[in-house]
Order: sequence, then C-alpha cells, then structure tokens
Amino acid sequence: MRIEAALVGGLPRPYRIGRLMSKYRDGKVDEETYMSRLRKELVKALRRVERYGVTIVVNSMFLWDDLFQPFAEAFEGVERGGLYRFLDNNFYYRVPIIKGPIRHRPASLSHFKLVKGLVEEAGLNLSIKAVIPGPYTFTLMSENRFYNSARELALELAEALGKEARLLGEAGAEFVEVHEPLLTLQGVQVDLFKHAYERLSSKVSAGLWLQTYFGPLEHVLEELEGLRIDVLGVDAVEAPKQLEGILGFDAGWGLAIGAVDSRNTRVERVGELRRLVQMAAERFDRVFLTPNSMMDFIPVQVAFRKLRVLGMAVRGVVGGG
Amino acid sequence: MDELRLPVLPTTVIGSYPRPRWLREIIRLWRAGRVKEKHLREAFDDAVVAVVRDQEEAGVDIPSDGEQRRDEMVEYFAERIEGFRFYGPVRVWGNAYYRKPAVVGPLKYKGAIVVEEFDFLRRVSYSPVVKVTITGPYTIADWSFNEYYSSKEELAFELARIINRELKALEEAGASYIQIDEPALPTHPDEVEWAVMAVNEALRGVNVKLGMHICYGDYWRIAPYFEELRVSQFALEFANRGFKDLGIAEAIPEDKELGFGVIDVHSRRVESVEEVAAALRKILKILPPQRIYVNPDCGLKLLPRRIAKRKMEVMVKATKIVRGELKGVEGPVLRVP
Ligand SMILES: [Zn+2]
Repeated sequence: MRIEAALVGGLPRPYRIGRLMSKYRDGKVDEETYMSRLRKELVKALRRVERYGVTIVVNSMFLWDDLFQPFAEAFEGVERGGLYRFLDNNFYYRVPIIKGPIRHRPASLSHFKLVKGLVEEAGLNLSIKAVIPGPYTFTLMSENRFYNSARELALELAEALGKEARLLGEAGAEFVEVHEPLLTLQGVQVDLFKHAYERLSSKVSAGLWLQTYFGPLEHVLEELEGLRIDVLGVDAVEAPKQLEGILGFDAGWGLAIGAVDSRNTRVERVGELRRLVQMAAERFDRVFLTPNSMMDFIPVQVAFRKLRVLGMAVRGVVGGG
Repeated sequence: MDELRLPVLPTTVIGSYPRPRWLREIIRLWRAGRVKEKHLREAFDDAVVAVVRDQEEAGVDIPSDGEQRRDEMVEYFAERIEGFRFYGPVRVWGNAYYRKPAVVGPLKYKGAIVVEEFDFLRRVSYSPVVKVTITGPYTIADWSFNEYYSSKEELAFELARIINRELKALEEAGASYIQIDEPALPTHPDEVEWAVMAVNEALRGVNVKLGMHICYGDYWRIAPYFEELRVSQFALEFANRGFKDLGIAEAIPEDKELGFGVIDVHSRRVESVEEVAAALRKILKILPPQRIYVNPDCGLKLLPRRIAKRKMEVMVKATKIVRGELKGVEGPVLRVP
C-alpha cells in the first residue's frame, strides 16, 4: 500500500523570482548571481513542501514560463511563437512553431539535475518526478508549418519526448509525468493520442504518470486500457462526478486524485480530502493526492496553504501521522 | 438635455493612456511611504490634465482621462467594492503578473467608484463630450477568484447590481458617453448566454450613450447577442488582426454603431496615415459613415507616451482625409446634459 501527497506540473513562480528572471534575461543580472539566488529560493520551496508532508516534487518547480518552454527552446525544428491562451485560463503560453524536422536535444534534464542536487544537498526526503508535455497535447497546441499531417508531427514529437523521458529516467526520475489535458475535451482523436503515446512509452523505463486536468476523462477511459500507464492523474475538482466511475475501473494503474483546486484561492478542508483518499485506497494499491493541475494560476502564498492541507490529509490516512 | 452634433467619423480613445514618467516615479515613492496621499492625488489630477492635453493636441474629438488613476482594470474596481481581498500577484505569462482579486464575502457597493474621475475629467476637458470607461461585471467575475458565491454566474449577477448603481451615479453626475469594457466576454463559449444577461442587468435603466469594448477574442461568439445587448455601440479591435473579420460589422444591427479599431496598441511601429485611411475606406464599404466612430484597438497604456501620441495624430489625420471625401455627410448626434 502506498499513499502519498505529490505535486503536479509546477509551483507558482514567486513575484521576486519573476523580477529576477526578467532582469537576468535582459542581461542586467549576471549568471552567477542569478543561479545562486535561484538555488536559494528553490531550496526554500523544497524544504517547505517537505515540511508539509508532500513527498513527490516536480523538476519544473517554478522554472518554466509554460508547459512547452524548455522543449520548444531545445528541440531542433521548434521555435517559440506568439502568446496564446492556455486552455480556458487567463494565462498565456508561447505557441511552439514547428518549422523543420524535429530532433531531440536535452531540454528539461538540467532542471532535473538541478532540483535533484538541491534535494540531496539539503538532505530532503523527496522523490523527484519529471514533467513533459504529452505528444498529443503538444501537437494540437502547436502551429505546424512543416509536417504534412498532425499524425506525422505527433509521432515525431513522441520520438523526441520519449528520448527526453528516457534520459530523465536514467537520471533518477521515478516517474515521468506526461501532460495530456486535451484528453478531457470532447472529440478526442483517440488514434492520434494512442499511437503517439505508445511510441513515447516504448522508449521509457521510468514509471509513466499520465496527467489530465480541467475536465472529465470518462469518455476515453476504456481506450486507456492496455496502454503503459503506471499512474493515472485525474481532475476531481472540475469533474468530481467522474471519480465514481474511475474508482470502479481497475486497469492496474495507480491513481492520482487531483482534489486541490489550483485555480481557486479557497483552501480545501482536510477532512474532505482524507475521505477521498480513503475511498480510493479501498480500490487501489497506490494512491496519490495532488492539486488538479499546475499551480501557476494562484498566488504563491495560497498554493503553499493548499499544499499544507494536502500533506495533512494524507498523513491522517497512512496511520495517524 | 441638449443635442450635440459630432463631426462625421468621430475620433475617440478606448480608455487608458501611458502614465507620464514623473507620475510613475511619484507612485513608486508613495508606495515606499515617501510621498503623502494628498500629493499623490494632486499628481493624478495633473497627469489627467497632461494626457487630456495630449489628446487635444492630437485632435481627438472625445477624450478620456487616460485611466491615470487605475493600475489595472479589474483591480481598481475590486479595491473599491466590499467583499474582495488580494492575496498576491498571479502570473499571466512569462514574467508578467497582476493582482488577481478574490471574492471572500458578500459584495457590497461602498459608494461611487469612478464618479470623481468623471467630474475632474469634465472640468479639465476641451470637449463637451468625454468618455468614461467602466469594467463590466462578467470580466470582473472572470478575472477574480470566487470563494464565496455558489457559482460564477451568481457572482456576475451580484457584480451587475453593483455596476448598475455606479452607472446610475455616473448618469446622475452628467456623464453622456460610457463604455463598458468586457474583454473576457467571448472567452468561455458555454457562459456567453448568461454573461450577456448579467451585462444587460448592469445596464438596466441607464439612459446615456453606452458602448461596449471587446478585444482579442472571437467576436462571432458575441455576434448573436449584438441585438439584445443594451448598448448602442461596439468598440472592437481590428488593426491587430490585420483588418480581417470585418464581416462582423455586418452583424451589428442597423440602429447600432461600430467603434472601429484602427491603431495596433501592441506594436511600437507608428502606422502611416495612408494605411489608416485605407482601413477606413474599407469599413465604409460595409457600414454607412453615420454608424462609425474611430478609435485605437484597445487602451494605449503599454506604449511609450511619445508613440501613443503620434499614433493618435495619425488616426486623426487619416480620419480628416476620409472625412474630406465624405463631403456633406452629417455626423452622429449625442445627447448631452
Ligand atoms: Zn481592449
């Protein structure tokens, strides 16, 4: 039996770090000063998360502007374009523009190593999960100016992301968290998703954590059976009704319940979260309690208040603290 | 009530205008506790005089106060309505943040929000008509966290009641042209229907000229509601989208006007007079001149002040050229108290 509290996607970037980053990008702060302050802030956040009883963190932390940034910057054939709305949020991402054949170059590995080094140095008891955008969502949220079809692009992205995921696993990631929020929309192109996901998963030996958010997954649940999914992350905030169906569906995966609302400042109650975990623990061997998505949409102080509740809810179940 | 005839193709602004550098400095000092509140107020007043003067020199027919007192269009209202709380900044993209408010209790109208702004603007304006802008209930709801009301819909209707009181206070104070800003309106297609009802609730019983500003969204989601929205003008951004989507103008009912966005506020390149004139000639093929106002795409506040002013000059020059081609056509009439 394994019950843990985990992060998903990332933490809000503190305002002072935002200021620091823009100064660094404008060349007004040197590399050394920048990295030393960044490391200090990262350690502070990691310590706090650990103190709250959250045991799995992510390599993205507050380092990424958006889900695609490191990959769009590193992969050959991809550039970052204009600002587009990220799903239905008042939050914008730079749309990846596909301009040539995609070739893998290490993208998020340095972030993984940075966070891992800090965790070890500080002697923290934290496991680090590596975040990547899923090839299906990446394809549909990009502007394809090169490949003849979405399918071709999705497979090439899966190839490159698979290579990245393998490197992350070799560097020590227990899980690779694959973001596919577009699975929650109606009209999923199931074949496109499946082919790309299979291509990606064939390259990875680390655990695969398929993360979905902002809607229900029920309409594609049966299609997921047979894919290599070690943990399935579902949104229990925006789509609470789907939980019953998911709890009754045993495909051998672990379940990550996204029960803390990362788009609202109202802080959840420990008791309610604990009940969810208990319910899931009756059906699943591995249960993770998480925010329903990356926490970029709320102020950082509120995010930490929520993580505290997350940790408390899990501790109560594991064995009275 | 007097009737005032405006020139054909009246020129105006959407609302915000860059703050003078010295004002930003005084705000910074005030935040650090080094400038008194009353001196900050005096600085705001002086800034309004300065930006009204910019608009006068550029030849804009209907000026605004440049929203000099407002840091941000939702924040400003949330700070002045009871029931809101600010937890801290939230990132919107890259390293850009805003203070997203949270609704933590029942909302209450604490008294006039922008009436004083209007009073001051009217006193210092060169024009008998000025534009007052007010953020609409749906956009305030969409850009806030809702911790208190059972749904976003309930929150939006509560805000509509508050905005309605403010609009009536503005009418009472003598405002003749008010613009409701609802940039969030097209964002969530499944909410548009009740969002429109909430906006209409806010506009109920207000008897002045009402416009609505929407930008950077899919106007076609709103077009089915152009008729029922209780405004007589839609001020829309077009320059940024390269004057595509002009067909939307045909969806505007015949008794309503278009505020035609001809200046890109996200680019520092100053448009040429000829390209703006060409855009005006293009829209005149779709709508009669009496139903067109001319404005920039959106608020100008993110531009350097010098460039904002040059862009206004270009807008006015181009409009005058096209006016010359419309010899004998009368402009729209506005009721002024
Ligand atoms: Zn606008």
